[in-house]
Amino acid sequence: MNLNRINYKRIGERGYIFDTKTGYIYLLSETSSIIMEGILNNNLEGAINRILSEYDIDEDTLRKDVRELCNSLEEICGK
Amino acid sequence: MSEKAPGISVARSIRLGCPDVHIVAFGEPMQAGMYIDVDASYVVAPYDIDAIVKIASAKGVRAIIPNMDDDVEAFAESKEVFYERDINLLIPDPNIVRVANDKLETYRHACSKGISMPETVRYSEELGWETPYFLKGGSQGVFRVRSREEAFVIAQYLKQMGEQPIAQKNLDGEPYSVAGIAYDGDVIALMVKKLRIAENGTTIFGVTIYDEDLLSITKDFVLGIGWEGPFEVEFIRGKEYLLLEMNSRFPSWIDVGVSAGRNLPAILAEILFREKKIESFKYRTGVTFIKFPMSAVKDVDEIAKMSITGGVEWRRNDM
Repeated sequence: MNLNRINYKRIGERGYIFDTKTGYIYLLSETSSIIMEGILNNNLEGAINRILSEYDIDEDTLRKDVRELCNSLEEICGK
Repeated sequence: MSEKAPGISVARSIRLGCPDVHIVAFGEPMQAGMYIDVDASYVVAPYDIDAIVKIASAKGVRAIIPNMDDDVEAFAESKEVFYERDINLLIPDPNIVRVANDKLETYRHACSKGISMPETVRYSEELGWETPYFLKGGSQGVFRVRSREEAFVIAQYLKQMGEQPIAQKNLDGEPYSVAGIAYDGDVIALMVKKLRIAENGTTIFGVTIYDEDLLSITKDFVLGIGWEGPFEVEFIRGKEYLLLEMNSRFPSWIDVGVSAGRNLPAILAEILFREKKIESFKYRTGVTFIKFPMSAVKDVDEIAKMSITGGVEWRRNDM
């Protein structure tokens, strides 16, 4: 996945993605922000473990959410 | 300079990018651009090119940037007169300016170059298009009409204002705009996504972006018609980019480039003064602008002085 065209920034507990090609802005939830940072830092498993330890969520649901975020990112970067 | 035109944004950008340049405004006493970020202002009637030539020669003006579509055509017709007096301009020949200013010509050229554009025709009362569609009336702006009756009323208004209304089909999509300078066979550009547009078509909120595809279409069109100088090309993006129109001057949001690292008016000033080559470097995406109404607050003495004497040279701390 080519992430060069997007900018990610955290503001407090949440982050946002700015698509530099289309101008779209995507606001992320707290957990999506942690996942996003995991993707950008090549430490997705670390991000998943952090969410499992800090938030009340089961692993299957979280991994499904991670896949959905990755699919959305691929869609954004393919536009 | 007019409040609708980019004169104030252009002057501000040059002031910030080229602080040593002495900026002179030509216009009417009740135009805000005569008082903001300029070093001197001279009163001229609209399209009075002879008066501008005379004043510019006497005051040592070395370059002129026209900021209204209609002005560009008048300057293009007289550019040799300016060159003879060593006053530099970067504008194409009048027949090329008309390709931008006449929206039907723009449409014909886009079609001939294979660049997609919504169907554009001269408005008539018999036009049977499904609403909504757009009516364009030159400097009077762009109007989205929702019924045949509304179209008729707006067309009458535009005709009264001396415009020949043009109808353009409405297509769903996201609006984008590209400002740039065509010079020496190349284009340097600044691209924005429009996030909010006023009823008259003016962009009031936008963000800088960078898209190679958009730049490529812009270059194909602008260089394809033989353009030289500043411009704005507007697009709508659905499945692909569709060209909506071209303006023969910078847009009023051009000063966002100062913060984005692509100050096009300052680059144009450098080209005009030094015939500098365009250097392409990356600018910052994600820089937003929000346009807002502003007042030029002046003592009535200064308005009267300008009207009586025909011009005022400001001290910098007066502005």
